[in-house]
Amino acid sequence: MSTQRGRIQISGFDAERVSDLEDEQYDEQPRETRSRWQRAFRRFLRNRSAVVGVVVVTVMVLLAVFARPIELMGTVVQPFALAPYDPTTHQNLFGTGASSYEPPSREHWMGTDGASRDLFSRVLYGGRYSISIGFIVVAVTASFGLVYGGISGYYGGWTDELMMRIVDTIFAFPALILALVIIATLGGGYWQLVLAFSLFGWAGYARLIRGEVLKIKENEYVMAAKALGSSDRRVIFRHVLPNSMPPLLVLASLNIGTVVIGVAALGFLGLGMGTGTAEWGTMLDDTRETLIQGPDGQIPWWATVFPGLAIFLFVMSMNMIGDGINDALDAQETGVARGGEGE
Amino acid sequence: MTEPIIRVEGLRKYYDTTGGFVDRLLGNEQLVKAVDGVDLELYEGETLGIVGESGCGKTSLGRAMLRLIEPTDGSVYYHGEDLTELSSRKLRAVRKDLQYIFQDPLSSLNPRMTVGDIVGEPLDIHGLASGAERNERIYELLDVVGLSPSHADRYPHEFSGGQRQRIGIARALAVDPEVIVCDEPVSALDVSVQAQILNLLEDLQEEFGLSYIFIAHDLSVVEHISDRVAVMYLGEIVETGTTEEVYQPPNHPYAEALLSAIPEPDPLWDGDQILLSGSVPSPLDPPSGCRFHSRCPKIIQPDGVDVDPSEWRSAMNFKHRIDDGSSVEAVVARTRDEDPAEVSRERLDTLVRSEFDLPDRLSDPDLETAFSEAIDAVHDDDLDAAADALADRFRSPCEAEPPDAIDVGGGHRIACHLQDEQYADERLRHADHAD
Repeated sequence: MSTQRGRIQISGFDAERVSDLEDEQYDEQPRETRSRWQRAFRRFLRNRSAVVGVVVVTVMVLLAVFARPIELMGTVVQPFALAPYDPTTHQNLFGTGASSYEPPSREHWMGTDGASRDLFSRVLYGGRYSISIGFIVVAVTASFGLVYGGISGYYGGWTDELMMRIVDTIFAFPALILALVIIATLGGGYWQLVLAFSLFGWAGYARLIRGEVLKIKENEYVMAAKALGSSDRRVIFRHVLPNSMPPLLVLASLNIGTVVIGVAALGFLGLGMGTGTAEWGTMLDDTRETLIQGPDGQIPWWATVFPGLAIFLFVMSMNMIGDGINDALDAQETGVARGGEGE
Repeated sequence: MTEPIIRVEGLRKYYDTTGGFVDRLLGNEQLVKAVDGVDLELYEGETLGIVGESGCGKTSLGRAMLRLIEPTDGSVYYHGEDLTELSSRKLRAVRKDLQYIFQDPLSSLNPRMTVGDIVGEPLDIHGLASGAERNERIYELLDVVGLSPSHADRYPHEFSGGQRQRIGIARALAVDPEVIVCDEPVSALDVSVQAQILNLLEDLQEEFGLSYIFIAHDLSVVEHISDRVAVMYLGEIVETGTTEEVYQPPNHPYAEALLSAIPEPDPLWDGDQILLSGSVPSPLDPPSGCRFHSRCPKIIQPDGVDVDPSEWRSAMNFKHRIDDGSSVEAVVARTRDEDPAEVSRERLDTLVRSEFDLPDRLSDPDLETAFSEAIDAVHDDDLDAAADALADRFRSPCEAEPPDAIDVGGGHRIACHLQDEQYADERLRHADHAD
């Protein structure tokens, strides 16, 4: 026995050989760098339900755009008219002579409503209000919430404290009540609706993003970016916010649906667009007495089912798109099926 | 000697662990002293190893040096310029010369960026290359660290641990730095890969004339790669010197304990492993004087006391337990079936002596008297009185005075009272004891 160290020497480890071994695995030719967005896009296209969602939303948007000609300052910018009738024409007086609550027929594919207007034309045209409000509101609120939450989470401390108390105050009121208050103050109308849903709608995004940022900024790659000399702005916009995008995109796509439903809800309460406007919610409101009892004890189901179906289809498709975006952007997604899922 | 490339002076990093702003208003501030007054020099082309056990502040030191976390106090001079005084704009420019390699090779790479973008990011930030030139440079860097250019458009999670660390190294090299702080770059890797990465780091040092600060807890790794070594304990540097000096006596008692713990493959080796008593004290409230005194096997005895070092260590352990404890149960913690608050005075005495490995009678009569008084007080459940009884005899200069770093020859500095001429007798005692 001895207390002297180093009597056994280990040799024979050849660093050269190890690096030679590794080189053999790496003999592929360099390819052009493919960005992660391109990858995500390809993955998204492989997701069937998401593609169905995109198709449905695209078709609905196109139908809404091409339903009736669009005039801008006197000139026609979009001459097509897919809708067979003007959505505001009373058919019993000026059109085909169809009475009110005419059931679906070859002439009126979805029947007519209580004022004998063609429902098919109105459903197509109605997408213009609901869908555009949905997209505008979400674009405005999500961008504002993203920046607000990003700043709050990244800088932390008193900034965070103050900014989050403002969000708390907004959360103290139900969103629809706040929208109601604004509409009640300003009156109904397109831009009033946009404002009603945008003014406080960003709070949810801000809270979500702040939480994400708090989580992400603890990652070492944020410190690594600082160690490389990135400015705060670059760290936030290149490392922190892109990594907080998936939950935001999911929330945003769900929220487009929520806003569309919210607009419809206000319309159903008679507070959105003016009565008689071909907006999905307002259309439901106009015919809500048919839900209980129509003339002759019959229920003219088409008057509520078709606008309702339009809302359902749109919101459902948006949700499927949201899920697809999430899966596509998730870089860790391996493509291995979980549970009963197939690839 | 030439001018150091980096000189650290009195660097401190305290973390505020105050619960919330209510606590802050009430003044209940609690500071974790992760780095507490560190002085270091790094010379051009050398590797300075920093070793110490988990939680001793190695990583905080590395990060505070590069201002990745804001140091509380002190200065870091890089080419004579104080980094802690620089504006954030100037600091960003200096970052081109000072790089950092992280311990966890996965979490330090952005999962949403391709390897090409990760390695290319420093080029973008400092405007070093763009377009085809940027691609060329990325391929070149990947090649330098032993990866293939075809890896440029893959994501970090598609790589093994060793490959990820190579990506991290390529990123650090992209800006052509002078100094790289390597924060445990091989701790997360298995041993064969560790060797590859260490060899790579050495090759790169030779090729690009880099200086490394190499933080690690693995002493064999540090011995392999370092030119000089600094040993850290509880936020302070206790010993610095060239690798040969630090790995040979004389040592700081803490470094000695660390070195004795290096595994030895020789089955006929019969070295003594020094087992330190207790665990690392909380950096919230580090021990007074020399921070290692609460665990030091060579703690100095006061004038007039001359007992066996291990007996003195045990006696001091007993004293610390009395000082920190709140009840008899805390003093005699090892008993299971007896309640120390209920037993007789004699039984308590036996329990305490067996718990702290003390002999039946302490070899110094004055100590024995003080010890008996303390046991009486503990039996009466009066720990304050017990502490008072011990205060007079059971004390060490190590508790009172923080030691200065003493040069024991050729820049080998040890921060221990034992190296002080004043305590030369004490050194002799330990030398005798070892024989």
